[in-house]
Amino acid sequence: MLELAAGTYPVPHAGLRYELARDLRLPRGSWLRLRGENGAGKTTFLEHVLIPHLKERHCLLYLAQDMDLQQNTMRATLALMGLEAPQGLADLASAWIEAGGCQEVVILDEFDKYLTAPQLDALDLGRFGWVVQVSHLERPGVRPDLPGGFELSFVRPDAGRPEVHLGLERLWPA
Amino acid sequence: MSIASPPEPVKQNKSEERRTPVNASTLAEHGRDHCVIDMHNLFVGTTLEDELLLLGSGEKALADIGRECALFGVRLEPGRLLSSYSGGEQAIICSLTLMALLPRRPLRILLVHVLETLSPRNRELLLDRFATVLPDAGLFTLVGSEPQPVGRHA
Repeated sequence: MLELAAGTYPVPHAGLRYELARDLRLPRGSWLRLRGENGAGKTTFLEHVLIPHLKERHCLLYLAQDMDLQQNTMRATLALMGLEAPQGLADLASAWIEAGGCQEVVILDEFDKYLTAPQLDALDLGRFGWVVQVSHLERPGVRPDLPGGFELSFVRPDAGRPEVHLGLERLWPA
Repeated sequence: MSIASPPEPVKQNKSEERRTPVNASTLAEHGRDHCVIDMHNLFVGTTLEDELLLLGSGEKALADIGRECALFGVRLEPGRLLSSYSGGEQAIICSLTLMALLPRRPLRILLVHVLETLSPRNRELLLDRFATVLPDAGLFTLVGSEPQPVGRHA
């Protein structure tokens, strides 16, 4: 189970405070989409709340928003492992995921904007126990490769204040 | 700069062809013919105030950009480094800065990974602001490695 207890999660340096009203409890085979307006704190939540809470219990792979930087890290990692680094970003990401050996939790922060749907399919995200995704692109329908679909919405009522309300919704199965 | 056709009506990004790989040479390839806003090579290096100073613009431009940002729910903070804003906020701030500074004449503006970084609401709003503020400009995104008018493949 991928879990985050209901509660308040402050991130002082970012001036944000997340309010999670209900426990987040996602069974293996879940897809979790993070949705919210720009500046609502989705990436900060990933990097300063969710990942720190999950990393003790789960193996994580994180494809960050700034792929311009991360692809250099991917190439360096593959080189250190003595593996070939493919040229295209999709192939590079696939090689990096394969080399990592982790098939538990994959976290993608707007990574889909770099790939076509076939390229995204080729990543075979269904092999992971959990897929966490930030995306502003169109909302996909039910993913047959992942039995459960959930959405965590981020609402920041006042951009000048730290409160961010998190709401969890089940997308599928109904 | 060549004259571009006005962009077609705003639509959601639904094309699979629109995904564009990270490419550091985008500015080199297209900067001659386009004003480029590339999320991986943003032209604001430090703070917005410093950038405006370098560009010879003053308090009025800053106030105008701040007002426009508020429409998008983005609150400009004096002296804050651009890189400390979220990716989407950076896209909005840089786009609105360009909008405030560019002359009102036919231009080609190339948005690279900008629209995909915005929420649906802000994407629509940004395109609307471009159409209102720079009605003679043509907006483009990369399809593969070629600029195409926004909306053409939506």
